[in-house]
Amino acid sequence: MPPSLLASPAVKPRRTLLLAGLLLASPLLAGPRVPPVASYRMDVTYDGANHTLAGQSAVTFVNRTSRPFPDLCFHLYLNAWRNDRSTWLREHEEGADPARRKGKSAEWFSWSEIHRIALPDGTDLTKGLKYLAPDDGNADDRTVACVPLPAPVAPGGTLSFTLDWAAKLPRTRARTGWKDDFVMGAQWFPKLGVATDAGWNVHQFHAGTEFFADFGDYDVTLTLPKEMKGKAGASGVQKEETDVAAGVKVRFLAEDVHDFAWTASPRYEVHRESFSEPGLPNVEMILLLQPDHRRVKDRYFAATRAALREYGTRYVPYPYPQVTIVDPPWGAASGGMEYPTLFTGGVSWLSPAGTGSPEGVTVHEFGHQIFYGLLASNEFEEAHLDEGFNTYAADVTMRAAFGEAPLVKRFFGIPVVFPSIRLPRPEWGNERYLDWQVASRSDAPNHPSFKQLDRAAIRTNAYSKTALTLASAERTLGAETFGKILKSYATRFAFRHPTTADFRSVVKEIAGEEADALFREAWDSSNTFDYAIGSVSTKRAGEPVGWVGEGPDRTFSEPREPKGPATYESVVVVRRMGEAVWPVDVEMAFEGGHVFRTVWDGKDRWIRYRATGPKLLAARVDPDRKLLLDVNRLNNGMRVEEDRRAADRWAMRLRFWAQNALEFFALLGFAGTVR
Amino acid sequence: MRRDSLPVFFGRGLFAAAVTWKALLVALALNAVLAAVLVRPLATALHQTLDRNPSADRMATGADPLYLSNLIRVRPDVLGDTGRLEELVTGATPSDATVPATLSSLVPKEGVAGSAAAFGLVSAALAALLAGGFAGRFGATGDRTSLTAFGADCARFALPSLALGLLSAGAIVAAWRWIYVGSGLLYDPDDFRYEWQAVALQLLRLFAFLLVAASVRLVVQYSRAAMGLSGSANVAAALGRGLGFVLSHAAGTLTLEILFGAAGLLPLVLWGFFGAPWGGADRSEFWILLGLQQLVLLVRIAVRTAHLGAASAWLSSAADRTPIPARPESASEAA
Repeated sequence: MPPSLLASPAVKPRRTLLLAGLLLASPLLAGPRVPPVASYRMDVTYDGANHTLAGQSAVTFVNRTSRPFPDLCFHLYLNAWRNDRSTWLREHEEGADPARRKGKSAEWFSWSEIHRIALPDGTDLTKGLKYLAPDDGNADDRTVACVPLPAPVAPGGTLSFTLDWAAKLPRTRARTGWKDDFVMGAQWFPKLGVATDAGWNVHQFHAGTEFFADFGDYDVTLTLPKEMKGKAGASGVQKEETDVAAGVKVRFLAEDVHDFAWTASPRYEVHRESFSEPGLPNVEMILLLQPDHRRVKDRYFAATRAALREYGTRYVPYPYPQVTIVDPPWGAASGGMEYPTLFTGGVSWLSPAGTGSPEGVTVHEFGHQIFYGLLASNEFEEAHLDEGFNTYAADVTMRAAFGEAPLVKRFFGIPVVFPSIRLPRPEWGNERYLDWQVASRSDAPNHPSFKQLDRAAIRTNAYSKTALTLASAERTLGAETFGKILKSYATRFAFRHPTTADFRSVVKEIAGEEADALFREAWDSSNTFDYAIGSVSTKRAGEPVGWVGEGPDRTFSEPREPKGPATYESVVVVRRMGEAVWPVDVEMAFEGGHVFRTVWDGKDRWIRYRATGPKLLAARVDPDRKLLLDVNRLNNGMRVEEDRRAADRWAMRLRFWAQNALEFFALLGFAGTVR
Repeated sequence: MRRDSLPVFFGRGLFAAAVTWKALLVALALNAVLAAVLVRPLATALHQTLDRNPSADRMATGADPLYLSNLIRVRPDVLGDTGRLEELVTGATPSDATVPATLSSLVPKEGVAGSAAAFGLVSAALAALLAGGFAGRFGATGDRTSLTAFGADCARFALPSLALGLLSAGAIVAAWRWIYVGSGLLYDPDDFRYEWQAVALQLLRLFAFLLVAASVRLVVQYSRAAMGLSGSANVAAALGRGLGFVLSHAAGTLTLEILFGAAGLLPLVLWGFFGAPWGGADRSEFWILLGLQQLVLLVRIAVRTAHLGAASAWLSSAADRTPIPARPESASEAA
């Protein structure tokens, strides 16, 4: 390791530009920022021919907890693909679609090794390095390593040390690696776990979960092949680019972040535009675009602008001066991923305007700059806090900025747009939860993500169920109240590691215990939400039949036609078919346009409503679709009298299309002759 | 215009089909009955879930994708494996097998989606049976419109027609499995540098399948024609002659196949653009739309039949012009 590297302080003073940005947004950024805990100064050479990395890291760890740390623990994420005994590959093989499993050749495997770890006084700690498997005890997994220290790092103390390390990138897996001349460096260097009052929070790399790290500053110099000159992007801001014998040296500085990712490709076309909006900090947007995606350049920028505006207004302003949008090449399996100040989008070669691609993925991945980048929750344990919140927020932004997208289907690779079929947000994108709820419901969202049954459970809970819970809460509590909750949560916990408990404390504070109960129902169990109209009836009220009066006045009243204006006695039974509870609206529609509405707390198994007056036409539970977690919308309403029009209309269409389909089949067997 | 040009054969085919209009109506009726039976469970489910549902108003005026997703979720038995059906229709690589062990793994097996494949085979078999009837009537010198005679011809040519239909259907399904799907399993589209390369290869695979399917249809078509002309039920001999004719007139027969294929699709495309959905209430509107729908189907069936007529006319014309081998004659000087 060069002496100069050790001599340089890894932690630098706060940058004025970032401070200015934060001050501009001071009304929204009420929470204090966390001072750096883990900072890295790295000098790394990438060998483009062999896809290897050789790096030296100078790391500064500041113990800001209340307990001493007798050791250091690292993530070596690239060992997830060291061989097929790793936890990641075992879990992936168990859950992946066979068609999506990748090959077994060397290009698909990777490794990460620490060759030397030393303290500034020269003490070599390397021999003490041991691989651990805290989650599943898998002795073959090498994604977590710890090394004991000669003396603990006391609370408030600082430890600097150096690492000599090397790694090999795989053909892209989990959005890291290379394809052709494209390279994406993500989870690529030995990285400290998170220091907490309970000790190191380190988890093995799992196939279904993401990451967790402490905030810090990164000063990274990359030596890349010379054809990548001017074609690299990374977290933070590029400071220098110089030609060297081995290629080109590029230096990036990233401050107040908890990860660092980079990318390079000779094929990138680099575009820059500015975001400027009153009340929000200015941001420079850098787009690294594939040449075959030129036609969507403006759509990438428009989506990023919309996200900067909506997230900045609704939650917390993006505080960094720059954001880098990476458009990965076809087949690189790197699209749709977030890193601090950099994210990957993704778009198809044929992507008609108005179909939501690349807008959807761009908004979503930018959104992680807030729900992951600033609100740096533990993605191993509480994946819903970043994915679910951001899925909800991205839906809100997409609806506000782009409306509902039409149905698009690809026939033999060619997209066909069905403009008359609009897909409602947020329901359509999150239908997966409702399907899963019927098929599995194995875990509650609050169950630690990496411990959930399978990847379907992790993904469904993290993304869809949480997004639908938030959207349902918004509709139930009201947009204003819910907006206040989210803004308070975002501003209070920016640059911190919020937990579910932190969010619910904000909910309770702003909307009370009843509001918190909604999240308890949705997140603390896997119970099903299903409200239904059990029965409806209405009958004309007539004169009483039977004995009336008492004593000598008692007479028998025969059935007879009622006189006067028609009055009806109506009965509606609303039922809770699922186990979970949510307050729901109940609506009864009567003849003459009369509508009666009430709110049922939804706690009992059923409730019966009786009404006397005009004839009842229909009853509906949750008529405004507030409870988006309801797994069966077909039982949410009932008419007193049948109306066959809709079914007849569709049955006729279906018969016609079936006739045509059968006619296609007839072509298989039909042939004739003429004499 | 020459009497043996393609437009003439095209016109002769259409005329021949038009003459058998009664038989065409029978084919249409069978098609309609099959479709009604196929769709019946789904239509019942629609009534069960929509008739008393006040939210059905959305479905009465347009398409509600959330209704469909709810129906699939709540009544999975009705539609069956719609994901597999979608893979089939969109040409997507099967999601759960790198190498499908059996052909049946490619098709859905439950619900209406599963029934569709079985009904499709029944439709193909019926079409093959009717082909015998059309053959008999086209070959008859007398009344070509007689339904009784059509039925008798269906029975007379039933076995060879079914055999050829089975050959045709089997070969086309096998072509789908081994040419389109099979070739798709040989590579990973992600390995291409650009997406357009992957799309182009997928379209090439589709084109290869269509070419093979068209060739199979042509060979079977002209084999039937040869069988009819010879009056023999020898399938092997007919196949040999049909194959020979198609090979010697490859461009022309393929052009006719494309022309009739396009003509058969045209009414459906027009309906897709201009066809109005029924509002569900007005009965007179219902009967008008039903009539128009059946007209679309009738034209499609007629065009399919016309192709047979054209093919047979061409084969017959070619046979007429084949010189009869000259009988050698010589003076005999008996000793």
